[in-house]
Amino acid sequence: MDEELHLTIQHAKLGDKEAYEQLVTQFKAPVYRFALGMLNDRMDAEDVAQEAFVKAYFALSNLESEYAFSSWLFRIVSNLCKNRLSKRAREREFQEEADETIIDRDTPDPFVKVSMEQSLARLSVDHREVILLHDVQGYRYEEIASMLHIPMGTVKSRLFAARMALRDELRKGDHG
Amino acid sequence: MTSHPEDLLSAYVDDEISEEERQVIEAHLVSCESCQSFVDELYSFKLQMQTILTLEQPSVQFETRVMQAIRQQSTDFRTTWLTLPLIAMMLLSAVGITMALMYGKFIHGFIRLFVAIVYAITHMVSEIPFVSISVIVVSLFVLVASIYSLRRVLQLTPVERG
Repeated sequence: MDEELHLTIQHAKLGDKEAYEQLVTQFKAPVYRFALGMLNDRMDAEDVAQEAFVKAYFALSNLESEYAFSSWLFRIVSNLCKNRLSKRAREREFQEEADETIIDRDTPDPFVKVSMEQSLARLSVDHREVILLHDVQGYRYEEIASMLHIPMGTVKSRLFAARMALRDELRKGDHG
Repeated sequence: MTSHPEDLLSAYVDDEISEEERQVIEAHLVSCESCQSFVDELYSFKLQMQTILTLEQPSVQFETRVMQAIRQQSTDFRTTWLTLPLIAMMLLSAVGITMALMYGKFIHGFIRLFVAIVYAITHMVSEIPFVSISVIVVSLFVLVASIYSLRRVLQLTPVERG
């Protein structure tokens, strides 16, 4: 972390709104992309990313070290994404109960070749999360382990399982 | 190595293995075409994942919306902190007034009882002449004794100081 960013985080922690706005500018793209990868919906991703920054602002005093800002922020956005996905699942359940003839939009058509984005969207939440944190955001295993409160061995095995699942999804499309 | 260390290959591609593991894997890859192909596939996945979302950008008003929401919530927070003590004070005042009304009734009743007792005593005193004369004499005696004591106290004080 460069000294300037460290100072900006320090100022933001003291309640400097301009400093915080600089942080939003600096981190908005990776946070939004992570949310988009998790939610596969631009409006939801924008909404959750904004919510994450607002939540982070009011919780900034709880941040122990300025050096951990980025991983702390991703933990917030990841939790918000999971909450949003749970809400979606509940709404879908309710909708399905209301109309039993509803078409399941998530059921893949085996004859259509799927893209990488579509394959990613079909992975489980945990698999999507580790792939996005590692391959898209570039965090190391150790950082992910600390972020998700799981052992490093779990990160390693989860990432491997996620890649295998991704390969299976892509192959399903190829066979079609 | 006869088995295919696929789980280790994933960590190998991520450069998250020990030097010893690396040597073992690289020796295996030289002689195993399927594992080499799997490693190439993993590298390809990683590369695609790195580029998959790079063109995606949040809206232009992103910061403005975030900062507006923060300002709004800060105002709400301040309003809450100003409103809460006011509500608390109003509640306390309401409780105080209620208590005063309850005790007010009690005090009012007590005063009425006291007035009634005083009225009964004076009525009794005025009805019996002996009692009224005795009360007057005792009262005068108490008054004279009080004046005498007061004068003694006022006279003695400078002598004691001297």
